[in-house]
Amino acid sequence: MALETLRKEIQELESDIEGLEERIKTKVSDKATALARGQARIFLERIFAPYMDGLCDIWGVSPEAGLLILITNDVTLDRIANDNPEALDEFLSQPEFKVMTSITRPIGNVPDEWIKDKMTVLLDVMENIRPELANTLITTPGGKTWFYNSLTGLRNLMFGNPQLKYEG
Amino acid sequence: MSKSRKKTEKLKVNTLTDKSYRVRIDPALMGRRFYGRSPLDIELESEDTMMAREIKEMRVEEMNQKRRLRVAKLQREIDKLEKETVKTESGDFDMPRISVAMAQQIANLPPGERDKVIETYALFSSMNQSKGRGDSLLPLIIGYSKSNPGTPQVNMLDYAKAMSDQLKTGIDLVKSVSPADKPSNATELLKIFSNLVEKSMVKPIEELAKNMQAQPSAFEQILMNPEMFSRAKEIGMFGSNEPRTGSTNVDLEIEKLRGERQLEIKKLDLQWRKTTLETAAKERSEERRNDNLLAALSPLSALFAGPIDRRMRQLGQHQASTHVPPMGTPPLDNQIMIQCSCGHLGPITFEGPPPDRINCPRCGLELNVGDAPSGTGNP
Repeated sequence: MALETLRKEIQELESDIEGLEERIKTKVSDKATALARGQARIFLERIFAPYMDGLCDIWGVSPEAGLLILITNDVTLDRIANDNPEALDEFLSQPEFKVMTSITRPIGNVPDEWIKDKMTVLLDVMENIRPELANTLITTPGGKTWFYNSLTGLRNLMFGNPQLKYEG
Repeated sequence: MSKSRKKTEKLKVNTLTDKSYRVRIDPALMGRRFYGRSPLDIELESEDTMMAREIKEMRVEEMNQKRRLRVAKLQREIDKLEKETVKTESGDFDMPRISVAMAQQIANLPPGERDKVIETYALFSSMNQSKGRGDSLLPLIIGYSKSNPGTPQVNMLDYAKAMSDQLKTGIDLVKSVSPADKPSNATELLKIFSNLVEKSMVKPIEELAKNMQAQPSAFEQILMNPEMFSRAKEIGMFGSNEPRTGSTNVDLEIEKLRGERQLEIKKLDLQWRKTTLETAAKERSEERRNDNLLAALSPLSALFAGPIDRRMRQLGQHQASTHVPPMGTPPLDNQIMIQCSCGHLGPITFEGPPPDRINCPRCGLELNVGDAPSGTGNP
């Protein structure tokens, strides 16, 4: 009788623990996703989209077309920025940019794998706020790779990750 | 100047005497008067002490001797008493030896018969000088009294006398027969032993040697004989196939207790884990940090939305002016706009001419290129 009671109690405890673990996992995942979405939204709304708009204004094409040109020619955002060091330095010295980088500092510490994993979140967020850009990235061959390279490059530019340049 | 030199010389004298060893001679022996405690006094005192000790030891020895003598005397008395007790027990006295059983049988007799038995026994014992005969007659007298209650004491006495005579005759007969069997001398004794050994030992050995062959062992005999085998099995010679109920029950109880203890430990472990998880579910530092970050992101983003948007747009424009779009970009007429019933709206680009049918990037629904949007999912 005592053994049976103990077994029942243990089963209940195991069930409770399983539920708690699942709850914690879901909660953590939800929070992480929410944070990633928030950061992604800020990045896309305040950095990526205005930048693309400014770029395409001068080129005289729509943002989707401008994005398509960049993807097709594999010209990432960090590459453009590196090609214009004066403009980049001016931009990086702006107080607004400093505030923004301090807010989004956690992004600066994330590894490349994290960015790869959170690509879906970024694209999902982008689909909500700029669906035409998101579609271009998704449907164009090499679009996701371009986006990933641009993000990692921008992370390095904005948060100052050191770059080891190998020149054979 | 000279005084100081003398002092210096005196100080330089090195005394080599060892002050720890000194020979002291009694002044009295030297003919001098000495007041106080001299070495002679000490010597005399030590002699007195030694004498007193010796006297004390002698007195102790004397006391020990006296005690030993007393112990020996007491031991002798004890031995004497023991001997008397043994003598009493062995019946050296002329007291009748009646066993407890006999006494009980006498006590069970009716009072009249009891008196007659006792008187007959006492009378016969006093009449007969031979030891033990009265003792052996007592049961007979009691038996006679039981079988013939109310018989006069004279008859009982006659019966006792007759029995005593028969007993005496039997003893005489035994005594007359016994010496005849005894060997008269050593030669006859040797002959008797020789015959005895020949009959009892040699012949069986010869027969055994003649009939010697491999005999099955006791165990083999049991195995070969079904009756013996079943009997041996019944008495448990080959062990028992029945379960050891007592031992098994104890084992089961032990296993039960062990299992219960293990379950208790597991339960405690799980309870601790549950408590930890509950605490973790309630509060996590990582979550708090994320919450704070999330709470700060939106207002700050809104606060700096305008300036950052403007700056980023300026950056893009500036870089676009310096970064000429590369040649060989795909013609824009290869791009078509998709509007699906799932809500998807966006362009899709092809390297060559677009195909007739394409799949929606979101829901995967097959769409016809060039058609107008419809509610059924067709473009």
